[in-house]
Amino acid sequence: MNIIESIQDGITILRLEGRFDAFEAKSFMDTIRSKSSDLPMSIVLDMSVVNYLSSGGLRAILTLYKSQRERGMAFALACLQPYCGQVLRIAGFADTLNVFETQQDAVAHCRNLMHDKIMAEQWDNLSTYDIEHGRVRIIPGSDQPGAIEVMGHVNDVLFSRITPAHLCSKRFSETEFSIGLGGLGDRVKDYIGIMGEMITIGGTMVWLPTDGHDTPDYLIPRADHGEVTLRTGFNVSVAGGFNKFFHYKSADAEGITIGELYRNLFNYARQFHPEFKGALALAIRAQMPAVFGAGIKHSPIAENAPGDGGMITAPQHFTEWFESDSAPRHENVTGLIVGMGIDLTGTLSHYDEKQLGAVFYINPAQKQSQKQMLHNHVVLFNRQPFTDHPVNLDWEIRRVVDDGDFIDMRHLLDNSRLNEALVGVNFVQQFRPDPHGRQGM
Amino acid sequence: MNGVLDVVLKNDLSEIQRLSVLAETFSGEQALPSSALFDMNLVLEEIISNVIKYAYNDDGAHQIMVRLRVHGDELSIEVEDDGLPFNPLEAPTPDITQPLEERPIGGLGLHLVKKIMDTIQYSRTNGINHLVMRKRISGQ
Repeated sequence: MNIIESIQDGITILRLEGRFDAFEAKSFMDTIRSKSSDLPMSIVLDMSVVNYLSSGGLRAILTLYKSQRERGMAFALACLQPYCGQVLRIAGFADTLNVFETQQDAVAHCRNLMHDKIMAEQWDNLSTYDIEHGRVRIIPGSDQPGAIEVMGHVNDVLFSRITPAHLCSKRFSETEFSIGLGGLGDRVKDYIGIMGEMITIGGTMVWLPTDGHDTPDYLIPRADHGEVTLRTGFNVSVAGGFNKFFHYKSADAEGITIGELYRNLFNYARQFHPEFKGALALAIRAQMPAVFGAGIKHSPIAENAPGDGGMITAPQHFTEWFESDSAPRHENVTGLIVGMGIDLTGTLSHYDEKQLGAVFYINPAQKQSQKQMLHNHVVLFNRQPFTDHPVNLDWEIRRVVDDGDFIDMRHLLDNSRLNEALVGVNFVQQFRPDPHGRQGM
Repeated sequence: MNGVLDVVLKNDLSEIQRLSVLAETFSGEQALPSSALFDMNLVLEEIISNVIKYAYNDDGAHQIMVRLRVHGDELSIEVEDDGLPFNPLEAPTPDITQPLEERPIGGLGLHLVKKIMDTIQYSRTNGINHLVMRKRISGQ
């Protein structure tokens, strides 16, 4: 087996060529040991031309994984041929090792991990910003321009006029952050009549079927590698990653409300982010002293539409259509939130009006009386501790999903409170149609 | 497809490389799909290296008999050695659900073999370990 070494962005890439068997594994480990003091910290093994892997190769990979972990350095595999991938799966390595389809993705993963390591080391030196009841610590994020992608139209929900022709299917990945109205099921008739509030976050899909049982359906298809398809009549997702992360810690147990959090973030964005156009999309992992939830009670399909042609949110229909908490439904829990909001004190004129209108129903009267408009969904778990220096939102979310006991899922009301949170903020540059859905089934 | 390849190996780890070349030629002659060749190579490496490393408590020369046979859509791999009695079917199964950082470095080879082959039979007669492993060959 040949080992070809290169360095990219401070990450060592070892491209292996040939058989990775017991014999080659020994010389591989000798090479690694002889270099380890000179090598930059993180290692990517490019296996694109490794055509054979046995337990000898697995042992070498495991040894390297352990030593990288002990040194606090990143390690990833890239470009596995199908047979080698199968051997990794049989050995039970595939779920823990970071395996990527391209060398570029593996390098990016290692770079992000090292970024997190540096941020955690610099925790006390990160810049801060004071907000109500506390302070945020600011962690830099992606340079990608943020966007909100929409499938369907909010008015079809608000006027209860969804028909089978409106339905879309969408596969979802571990990095999908979205909210909307939908369900799971193979046949349209199985779910169209019971679609409800839904959220995807951290590789899970949770929805609240409107079948009268008020019990969410919770699914982690992570192991299925994107094979599960969600059905939706209206879905809004966060695209382009998060441009900044804010770790909020309140000075008191009470904390702030979701509404106040958005208001403070709008203020911050107006002050420090010239690219801010009036909309933010967030993913939040939060400690929540009080959760006020809401939920749609019927699937907003044409046959359920109010007889007077009015909106389901109109005062005469509201109680029939929505359950809405006046006392906290849950206290002292951990929440994973996906949401978005618009700042109505600005013009929002930068956005495509039609696409914006597909996500937020804005009537002129509301615009005068309200300063902001928010739409958030939450998945709740029993209270899970944060890590000491929480700098990686994906990791924090994954820990909650893996370790927490699932409790509930709701549409989140703005008066819900949080006293510690890691917030990923996407400075939305564009509202656009979601290209990932398939019309029909 | 019907064919047999008999190989006699010395108890030396370098023999595995030689065996893999012979197995590849055999696989080509039998027009086996590449997945079958991979499986065959992996099983041979795991079993033979185990025998060479652990079966002998002397420094002497030993012979290991290997027979590869294709009969219809079945591949069988037979291995005979005169080492210490060892029944791979009784080897402890590693806990593959254990977190990777807590996993012992060894013990995976036989697990791979058990997962890959459809049936494994072990017998010991007249001081000889006799192992027969069979697998149905699927298409390309």
